[in-house]
This record gives sequence, C-alpha cells and structure tokens, in this order.
Amino acid sequence: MTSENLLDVRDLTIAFRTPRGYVEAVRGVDFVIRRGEVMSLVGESGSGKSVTMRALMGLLPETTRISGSARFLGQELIQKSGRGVHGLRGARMSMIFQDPMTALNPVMAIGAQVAEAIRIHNRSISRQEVRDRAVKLLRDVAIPFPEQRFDQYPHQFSGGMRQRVVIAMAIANRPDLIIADEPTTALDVTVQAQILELLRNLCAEYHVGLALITHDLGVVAGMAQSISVMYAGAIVERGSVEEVFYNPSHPYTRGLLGALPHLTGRIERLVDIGGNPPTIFALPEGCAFSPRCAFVQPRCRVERPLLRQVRSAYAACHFAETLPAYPVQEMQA
Amino acid sequence: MTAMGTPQNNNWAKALMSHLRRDFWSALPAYIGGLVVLFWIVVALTAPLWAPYSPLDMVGARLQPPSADHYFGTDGLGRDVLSRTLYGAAQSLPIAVVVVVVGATVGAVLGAAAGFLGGWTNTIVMRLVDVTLSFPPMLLAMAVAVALGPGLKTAAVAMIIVWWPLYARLMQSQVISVKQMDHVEAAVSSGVRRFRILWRYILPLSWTPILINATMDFGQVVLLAAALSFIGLGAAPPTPEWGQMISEGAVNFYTWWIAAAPGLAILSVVLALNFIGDRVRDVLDPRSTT
Repeated sequence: MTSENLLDVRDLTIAFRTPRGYVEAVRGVDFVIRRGEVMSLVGESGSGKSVTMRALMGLLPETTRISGSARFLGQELIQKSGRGVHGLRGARMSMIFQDPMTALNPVMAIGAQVAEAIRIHNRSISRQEVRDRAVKLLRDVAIPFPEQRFDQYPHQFSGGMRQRVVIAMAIANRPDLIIADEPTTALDVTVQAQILELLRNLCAEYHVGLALITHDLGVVAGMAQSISVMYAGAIVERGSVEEVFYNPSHPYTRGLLGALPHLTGRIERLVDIGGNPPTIFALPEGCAFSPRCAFVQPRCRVERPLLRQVRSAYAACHFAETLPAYPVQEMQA
Repeated sequence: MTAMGTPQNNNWAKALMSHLRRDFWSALPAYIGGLVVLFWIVVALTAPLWAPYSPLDMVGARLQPPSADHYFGTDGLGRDVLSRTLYGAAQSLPIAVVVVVVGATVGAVLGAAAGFLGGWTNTIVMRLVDVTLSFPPMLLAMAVAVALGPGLKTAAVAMIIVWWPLYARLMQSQVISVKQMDHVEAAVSSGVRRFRILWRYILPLSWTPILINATMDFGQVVLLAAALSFIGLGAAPPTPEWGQMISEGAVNFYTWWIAAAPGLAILSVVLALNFIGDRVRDVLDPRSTT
C-alpha cells in the first residue's frame, strides 16, 4: 500500500498561446507521488510549479496545449476534452490555494461552502447529515466553536482560520491526493507553523498523498519525503529530501541551499545565484541554467541535459558527478 | 468584533437601524427624494381622488392663468392643467419603471452570458452592444418609435432597445473580473457545476453596479420618455402625459403655466431619483468616496 503510485506524471509539457505563438511553460516534467507521501515541488516564481499542478486540476484555459501523461488512480488526467477529470476533481483530488483571503466565496457562509464541497460529490445524503459532517470537518481542522462559526461569513475569520476552512473543504471528501499551492505563503510565521502541522497530521491520518508547492526550503525539510526542484519549466533535480539536501547534484539546487541562512556557525553574507532566471520566451540554448552556472562548460551551452540517475537521486546536469564535493553542513529542519 | 470564538449574532434589523442613524445627514437628500417619489407613486395610483376635474373634459375657459378655480390654469382646450398633471403621473412613471426594469434585466442577462461563456456568445452580444451604442440614443429611439408607430408602448420598446446595451456592457465587464477571482477558481477545482458557479459565486458579486446604474437611469428615462412624447412619438394627444403636455404648452410662450406644472413634476421626479441614485451608489460602491 505504501509504495502504490497515486499519481504518475510523465513527460508533461504545457504550452500557452500568446501573441508570439505557443510558448512552453513546462517542458517534459516527470514525477511520482505515492500514497501517504508528501512530495514537494520547489523552484522560484515562474519556474512552472503552479502551472504543472493547475494542469492536473484542469484549471488552465482551454487554449492551453497540454501533452504527456498524468495517471491518477489509473485514470488519465490529460485528455482532449478535459471532461473526464470532473468526477475526480474535488472528490479524489482537491486543491488548497495560496491566499485564503480570496479563496473563499465572500457572500456564502463558510459552513455552506464546506457543505457544498460535500454535497457536490454526494447528492444523496440529507441536509442535516451534511451539516453534521461539515461541523465535524471544521472541528477536525481545529476551528473553535464550529457550530457557531458555521453560519459566519469569511470576513469574520482571520487568515489562519480561513486557511483552515479551505483545508476542511479540501479534505471534505477524503481525497487520495491534495495539491497545496503555497498554502502558507500568505500567512504569518506562527500561523504558518500551525497550518503545516495540521496538514501534516491530516495527511498522516487519512493517508493521503500531498503535493506541496513551495519556495520555502525550510517547509520542505520539515514536511516532505521527496523533493523535485524545478527551473525554467523543467525538473532539474529530484530525489529524497535527505539525499537532495545533503548531497545536491545540480548546481542550481546547490545555489538554492547556499542561499539559506544557517542557524549554526558564524553569520556570513548569504550566497546568491547571480543573474536572473530566463524568460520562457527566450530560453538559452542547451542547459537553461548555463548562463548562471558557476561550473558551466562548453557542452552545457549546446546540449540540453536530461534528468538521469546520479547516486540515489536524479539530476539534469552533464557534470553532476564531477562537481566539486558539496560542503556537508548541518541542515536545519 | 472579537477575533476568535464568541459567536456573533447576525442581527440584520439592528445593523440596519444603526446604519440609518449614523448616516442620517449624508443620506438626507435620498430620504427627501424617497418621499417625493413615494408622493408621485401615490398620486399615480390614486389620481382620481385628488384631481379637482377630469383630465379630458373641457372644464373652463381656454388658456386661463392660475386662479382659485384652476390652481395651474387651463390649457388650449380649457382642460384643467393640475388634474392633467396628476393623472399624467400614471402615464409617465410606469413607463420609466418598465424601461429600466426590462432594460436592466435583458442587459444583465445577456451581459452575464457574454462574460461567463465568452467565445462566440461574447463576440455576438458585445458587437450588438457596440452597434447599438454607436447611434445617438435619441436618434435611435426616434427611429425605432417611428418604425413601430407612435404610442406609449412603442416608445417604451424603443427606449428599452436604446438602454439595454449599457447594462450588458457593465455586467459583462463585471462578470469577467469576478470570474478571475480566486474563490471562483477554488470552486472550479472542487468540482462545482458551471451554472452553480455563475449563480452562487459570480452573480452575487456582480450585480451591484447594475442596481446603481438602474437607479441613476430612472430620471434619464423619465426625461427621454417626455422628450419622445414632446416630439409626438410617445403618448397620443388626449392622454395626459407630461412630455406631451409640455409640448402643448410650448406652442404659446405667454401661457407659461401649461408647461409649468408638468415641467415641475418632471423636475421633482428626476431630481428625487438622482438623489436616491447617488445614495445607492455611495452605499454599494466602496470605490466612490464622494
């Protein structure tokens, strides 16, 4: 049961229609999420993390060109019509959005919104039963006085409480997979910790797979078992969190980790990655990271590296094995 | 409000009362406007009880200035101007209500469909809107009224044709902007049906500008109806309609009283409706801070 592949994404490519023709925002992404596993997708803004997950939820505009395969519970999510996903969406897989201040309908009582999430996929149960279940969900996400809070509106809730409501809606139908798109970015740090704790407990309790989109490596270290690092629409490194954090094989991952402050040792100037990420309108030839890479070789500028096994992880770098040894440091979880 | 726990009592009546008390002075013109409109509605419904004479009978000498017998004088046929003005409310006001309600409904439905469905529906509806709006409103209303034959009903149809595109355009832009909000996307992701998304997640956040515009437009429609009647495309002559009465009075400048009473009636109604419209906008539209 633990090793069952819940979601199997292969060669997912997403192109948006623009006035300058189709532009690929995601270029051949593969990853797997197992039941009960927290898989984290990290990368800077615009690297394609959100677009990848939105494609799986069927939230991209109809003009988007999506190719490749994404099998969820044995069903293909990437279909021409996009209709097949409807029954799964919200029921077997659900999504938690970044900003709880705007993700709730401001003119519906929160209880009604949770109830709606239940009723959409289960039309036969009675009104009272829906209410009972909605109240129980609110209690599960640790909202105090759920019976009284049921009839209140989103503006009467704080940000953290709203995110709990959003989570309650996401787990309403006991999904197998939850996609969380930067669930704590809009919250302050103490609330962030509570929400992550809640998510982690719920995932463990219900044994669901969690795809955690984030750019916060601290969150990854605390929550995830596996990690995929995205850069310019492609996965550049993938593996278990321990392997990737302690022994990063891709120069970009090293750059990300090097930019983190350490709690131990002397406080030094943080190391940044020089330059800016490329725009998807003008990707460099060869490796997309080559213009910023400290270890760049002539080959990197002509040949695009593919994701391949490097030690126990995967990396998309021609010279992953020959990079200088990564300074082993205590990573802060 | 307390941040956590302690359940709040959503007492609507209480909130409304405190709201009314707090903003009494800034809302005063709207209250006066409301009284004026209420007055005219009562008059329209019960004109026979108040009017001293029948609006159609020749009850005195022609072209008499205001006197104790005829407070607003008599017109060119010896009819009592005050009686005709009071009866006129029953002609002029319903037409404005019909035009605004039908126009706003048609416009809002088409605009919402265009904004929500997009694609061809959007293109067809919005081009239709563009074409209609490219005519001067008075000219288009005249052309339609002439084509359909004069009369109050055709004047109403003409005005609806002139008016709906404004609401359609407003609704379309509003629906498009609400459609892109996060909570709509969240609803899509949890599998809420399309129609329900429109009904529960988009429309409740899109209709207030329509209401604001509709109240502001009431006065305009009363004016346009009067204008159509003035040039002979609205009410047919014996009917006591304000615009038509003004046109009769305009023939002779020295018998000013014939046009004065219906003119004041129109002025009071339009002014009152504009006061109400301003207030509705202040309350419903947080962006206007006047």
